[in-house]
Amino acid sequence: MTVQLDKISGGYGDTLIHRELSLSVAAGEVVAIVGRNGTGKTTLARLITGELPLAGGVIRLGDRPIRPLAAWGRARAGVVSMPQTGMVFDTLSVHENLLLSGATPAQIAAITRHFPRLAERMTQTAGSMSGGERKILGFARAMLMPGTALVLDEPSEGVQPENIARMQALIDAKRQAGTAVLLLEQNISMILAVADRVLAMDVGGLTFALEKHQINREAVLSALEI
Amino acid sequence: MDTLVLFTLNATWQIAALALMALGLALVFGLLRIMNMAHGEFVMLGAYAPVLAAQLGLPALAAVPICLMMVGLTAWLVERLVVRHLYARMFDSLLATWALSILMRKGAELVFGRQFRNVASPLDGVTQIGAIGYPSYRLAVIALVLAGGLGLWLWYRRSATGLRLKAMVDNPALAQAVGINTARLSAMAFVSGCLMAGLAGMLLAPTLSISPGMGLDALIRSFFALIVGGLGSLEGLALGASVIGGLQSGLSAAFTQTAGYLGVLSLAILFLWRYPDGLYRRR
Ligand SMILES: Nc1ncnc2c1ncn2[C@@H]1O[C@H](COP(=O)(O)OP(=O)(O)O)[C@@H](O)[C@H]1O
Ligand SMILES: [Mg+2]
Repeated sequence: MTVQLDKISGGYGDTLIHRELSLSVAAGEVVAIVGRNGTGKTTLARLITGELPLAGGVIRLGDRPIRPLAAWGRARAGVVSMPQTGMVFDTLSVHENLLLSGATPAQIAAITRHFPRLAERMTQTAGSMSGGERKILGFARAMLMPGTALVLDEPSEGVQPENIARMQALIDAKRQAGTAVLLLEQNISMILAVADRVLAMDVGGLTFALEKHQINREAVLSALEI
Repeated sequence: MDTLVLFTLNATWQIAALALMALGLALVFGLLRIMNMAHGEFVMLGAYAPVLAAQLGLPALAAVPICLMMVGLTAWLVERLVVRHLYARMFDSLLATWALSILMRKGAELVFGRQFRNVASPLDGVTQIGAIGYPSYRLAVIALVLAGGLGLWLWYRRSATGLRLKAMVDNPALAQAVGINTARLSAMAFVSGCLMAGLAGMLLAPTLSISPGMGLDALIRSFFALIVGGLGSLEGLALGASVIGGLQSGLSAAFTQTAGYLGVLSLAILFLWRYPDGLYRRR
């Protein structure tokens, strides 16, 4: 389903990080936002998921305004997210983390075929795994959740290339299924592999957009170097 | 031989009664990080349920719905009006529930009067264990605490709601991201913890002298058990209640009641000072 941000503002307390930011992600589209550290990608993700309150603006999922919903309500309405940090329940086992997505045992078995590392560690606590493995677990949990929109905040950070490739395949499958995907990333090869559109973010807002045919390594790099 | 059996029975009773009394405090602290200073007043409120049932000429079992309604309604109101706004603000919630405890004590004085009361045990008589006759009611409460404690422990580890609670304790933001209504779950946890306190008061009522001020003693003894066992887990609670309850009944048997109380107090202070994590450390 389409996700539409209409002039949203928000940040931490009185410090607004974003002012009147607008963008929309269509159903079946992967939009990547690139930008250096500290430009506000994570803050944008939090404003969409409801972890941070909006100071202004409207967010629609399809035709439905979801601003009145708390974070849990937005998740149930179909806005699935994987946060950049704290993306797993550290004290719970890998299996319990996946169970909390609401998935069936068959679905859980299917996702762990993509990531054999998880299958080997089902009973281990998530907090005992490496940073990259925790990213994979958080990503797998997000993939299992039913939803029409997906917000991924730097899923590839610290993950090995073969697992990044599997993540890309799963993101592609979500696109095929008609999910609107917002990918906040700094990993250029992942962006090149999956993005239909790239938006560059700098402190103060979005600076430029690259359409599908304009996306190449140099153009994306320039977004990271502003 | 008989003295040993009697001592064991007494110690088991002390431990079971203490674990029962402290359960609600442990639940609320473990799940919500709120030190509920009004915990003892919920115990007190529950203890008045059999008093009311007797005054109204109702059968003893009527105390159960009276307790659930009286305590549940109070806890629900307190959550809505006060506690809800103070989650994740440990010191504020401590002060607020402390003020609440005073309010509840004064309220109880107005409604029930200041005099001490006793209620008859709903299960009279003694059960013969070897040469020793032991009050049947105490044995029944011990059995109930064992079965209930085990059931609760299994439920927390195995059930879907237990998993959601663990997720909320671990990472509240991510819990919301997987669709858990943490506000409602927290409210449920708080009310359940208070109901446990109330049920403890109701069950222990025949063995206590009931008055509006009885909550302070309940809070302090529960707090000791949690300090020694380690705050915030059922395993820690069982361990803490065993040490505190066992020590108290041991010292009381060997010396005097006062010695028992002083021993327990010293141990709790020692733990607060040297081992603030308690005996059962969480990973
Ligand atoms: N919890 C917070 N409180 C206050 N300011 C924050 C907080 N988190 C991030 N910021 C600030 O918000 C800005 C954007 O940060 P962030 O959204 O994390 O950027 P990015 O994800 O692009 O690295 C930065 O200036 C950062 O210092
Ligand atoms: Mg970030």
